[in-house]
Amino acid sequence: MGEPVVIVEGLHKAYGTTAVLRGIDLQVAAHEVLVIVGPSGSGKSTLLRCINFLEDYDAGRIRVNGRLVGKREINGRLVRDREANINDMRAEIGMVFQGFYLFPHRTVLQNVVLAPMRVRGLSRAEAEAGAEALLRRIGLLDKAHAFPEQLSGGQQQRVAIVRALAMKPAVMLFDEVTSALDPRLVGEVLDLMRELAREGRTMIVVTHEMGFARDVADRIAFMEHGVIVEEGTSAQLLDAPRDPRTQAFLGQVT
Amino acid sequence: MSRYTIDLASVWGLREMLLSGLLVTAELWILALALGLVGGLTVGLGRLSRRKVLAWPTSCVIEVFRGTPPLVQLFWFYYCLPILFDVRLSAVVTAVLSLGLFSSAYVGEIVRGGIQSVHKGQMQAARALGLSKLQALREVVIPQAVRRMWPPLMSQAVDVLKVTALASSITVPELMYQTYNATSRTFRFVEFYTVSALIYFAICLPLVLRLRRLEWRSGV
Repeated sequence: MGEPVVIVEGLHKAYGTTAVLRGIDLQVAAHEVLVIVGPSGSGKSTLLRCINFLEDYDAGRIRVNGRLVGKREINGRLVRDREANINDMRAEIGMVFQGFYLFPHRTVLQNVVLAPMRVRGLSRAEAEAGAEALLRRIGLLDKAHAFPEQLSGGQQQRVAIVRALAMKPAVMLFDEVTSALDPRLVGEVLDLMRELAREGRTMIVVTHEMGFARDVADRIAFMEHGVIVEEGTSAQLLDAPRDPRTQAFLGQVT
Repeated sequence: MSRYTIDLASVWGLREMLLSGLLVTAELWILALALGLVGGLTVGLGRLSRRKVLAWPTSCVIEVFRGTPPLVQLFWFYYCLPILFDVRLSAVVTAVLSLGLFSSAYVGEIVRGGIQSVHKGQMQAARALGLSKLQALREVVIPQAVRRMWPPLMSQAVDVLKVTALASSITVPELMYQTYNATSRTFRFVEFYTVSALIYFAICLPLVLRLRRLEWRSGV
């Protein structure tokens, strides 16, 4: 594996006096799928939101493709980067949310082409060609001109994934993307994510779906109280966890 | 009801007086609404600002204008401005200014409510795709907010029209003022006040009907 795509070093983040992340170190190599599991409130979502700088962080460094995220270094001190640079950086990092957040006033196609046109500067024709190819792939080309509310939750979430993919990001972040779905719609979203993993996308996935984690993860990290307690291959972590906290957590969910 | 003979001819005889009043009312209404939209957008966004220097004064302006009677505001501008600041404005300008500020306060709350009603996730999803804050506002948040702002804005427009009648009390020659003058000439209170009410109603009706449809469509 070459240079890691994502490098997180000594990441700290607090909301007021509540420490949410207390020294996170992790790396994700190109084509690797890292799954993060852990109880609610362990800081998993906050970690993802720091990686694309939707949340500022207090200490530590995050690099994506070698570039610092959200910060620049002046005389050894980290200061907030210029907005334009932050926006550039975010365009390289795809994020999919638990709540989908498709733009309800825009059609499916318009949702997918917005960022490629406004951020990447593609022409409408180029952006639509790309978007249609992606929609065809997930079997939703016939919904291109439908509005999000006309789609099922599973379809909406797949469109949200495609909307992020349309930016050709270096890494995709998935934040509990199946948690808000009707159980019978979870499968179609996980299937799409499996496919993305198979084609070698670099992914960081926060999930409660242990079966999915086992199938897809190259590595799994277990987080609790703002630290990564343990990480390893899915076999190591799920079948032979070493840390008693990991054992306790897995005992509850499986 | 007592026996009263309606004399519409008296109204017809003074139709030009009413018409000139109607034109002034329309002028007042449109200018106050225009000022209200611009002012409302400003104070609405100001109140949403994270910067206290912006949020605090705009909140004060909004609360003062919403918490006092528009008639008092009108009199205050008309009588107190010249005394306190030596500013002399015509009655019409005073009325436009005063009604414009009055509606700014309400429009400001409509703007704020509209923007706040758009889920935070919408902004985040847009930013996560690399859009700048301004692009996210323009392409994602404001279009959704505006849709929700239409019904309350139309209802606000109706309110402002009705409030323009107060300008008669500072001698602005609008419809209410002319109606009053007409009655003092003819003593035909029933005819003039009824016709005047019907004129106000006729202007409001299309807006009210449109509002009904909007509210019905958005399921409010």
